[in-house]
Amino acid sequence: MTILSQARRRVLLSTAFAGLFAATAPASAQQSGQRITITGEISDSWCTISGLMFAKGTAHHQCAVWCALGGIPVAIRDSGGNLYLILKIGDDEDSAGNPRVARMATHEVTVDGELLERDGVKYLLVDRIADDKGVITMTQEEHGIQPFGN
Amino acid sequence: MTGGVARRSLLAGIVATLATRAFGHDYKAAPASPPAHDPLATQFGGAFSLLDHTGKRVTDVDFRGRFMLVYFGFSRCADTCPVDLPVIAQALDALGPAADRIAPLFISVDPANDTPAVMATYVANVHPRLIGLSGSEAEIAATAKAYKVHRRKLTQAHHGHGEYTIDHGSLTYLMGPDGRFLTLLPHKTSPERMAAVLRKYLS
Repeated sequence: MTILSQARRRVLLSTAFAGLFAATAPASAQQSGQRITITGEISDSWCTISGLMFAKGTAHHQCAVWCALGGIPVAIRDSGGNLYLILKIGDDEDSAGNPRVARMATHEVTVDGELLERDGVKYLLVDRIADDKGVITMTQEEHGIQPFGN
Repeated sequence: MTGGVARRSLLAGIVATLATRAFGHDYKAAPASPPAHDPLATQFGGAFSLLDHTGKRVTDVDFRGRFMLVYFGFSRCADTCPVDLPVIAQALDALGPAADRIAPLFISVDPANDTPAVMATYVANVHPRLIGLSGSEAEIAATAKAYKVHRRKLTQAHHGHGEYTIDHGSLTYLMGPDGRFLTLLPHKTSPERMAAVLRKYLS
C-alpha cells in the first residue's frame, strides 16, 4: 500500500460524512475553446473537491505533490472557488499534465490558455505560465503538514 | 479476492456518498453533439492493438459501433483503481441493458505483471463486462501516449522485495462508436453522475 492510499483510506474512513465538499463551479454556458487567463492556486482535484487534507496553502503542499504524481487530476482554483482541470501544459504531448504540474503544487499562478467545458467540467489547455508567485498561502501553523506531518 | 472486492465496493460507496458535490454536481443533460470548435476531440485516443483478458488480440477497430469507456490502471493498484473501477461498474449497472452499447476497457499500465490470466481474474472481480487489455511494453507505451496517460513505476521505503507501485493517470475516457473522443470522467466522478453522462451520449 502506498503512502497515498494509506492517507486516503484513513481520511475516507474518518470523514465519511457529508457536507465537507466545497462547491465546484457552476456549469455556465461558456464557449468551448475560449481564450482565458486564470489566476489561482494549483492543487489536486481530489482534495480540493472533497475538502479533505485542508486543501490549501502550505499545509496541503506535500499532499498536493503526492496526489499530482499519483495521477489525481490537477486543477486551478480561482478566488471565486471555480475549478479548472488542467489537461495540458505548454507543449507536453505525452501526458495530461500531472508530472509537470506537480512542481507547481500549491503555487499561486496566473496562466494563459484555452478553456474547454464538457459535461459540466471546466478544462484548461495551458499555453504558458504567465506568473508563478510560489506558495504564498501559509496555512501549516494552523493546520499542520498534511497528511502525516513533517 | 472477495475481501478485496468488498473493500473496493465499500470505498466506492463512500466515495459515491461523499461525491454529491463533486465534478459537475450541477450537471444537467444537454445535447450530446460536440461543439463546432472542439480542441478536446484531438487530445485523446488513437489506434491500439492489445491482448484482451482471454488472450485474444484486439484493436480499437474491433470496438467500432460501440462506445468505449477507457480506463488505465493495473491489477496491483491500491490507490486510484480500487476507487475508480467500482464507480465504472456501478455506472454500468445503473444503465441496465443500455450498457450493452458500451465496451468498458481496463488497459494495464503494468504489462510485465498483467498477463491475460492475471487480468481475467482481476476484471471478473470488478464487473462481468469489464474487458482487461494488456500487451507488450511497447504496445502499452504507445496506447498510454495516445491517451496522454503518464505512468511511473516506483518503489517506496515500505515496499518489500518485489513490491512496487505505479503512478498513473486517472481519467476515464468516453470514446464514440466511431472511436473518436467524446468526453472525460475525471477521478472523483460519482457513479450517478457517470451514468447520467453516459446516458446522455447513448441517447
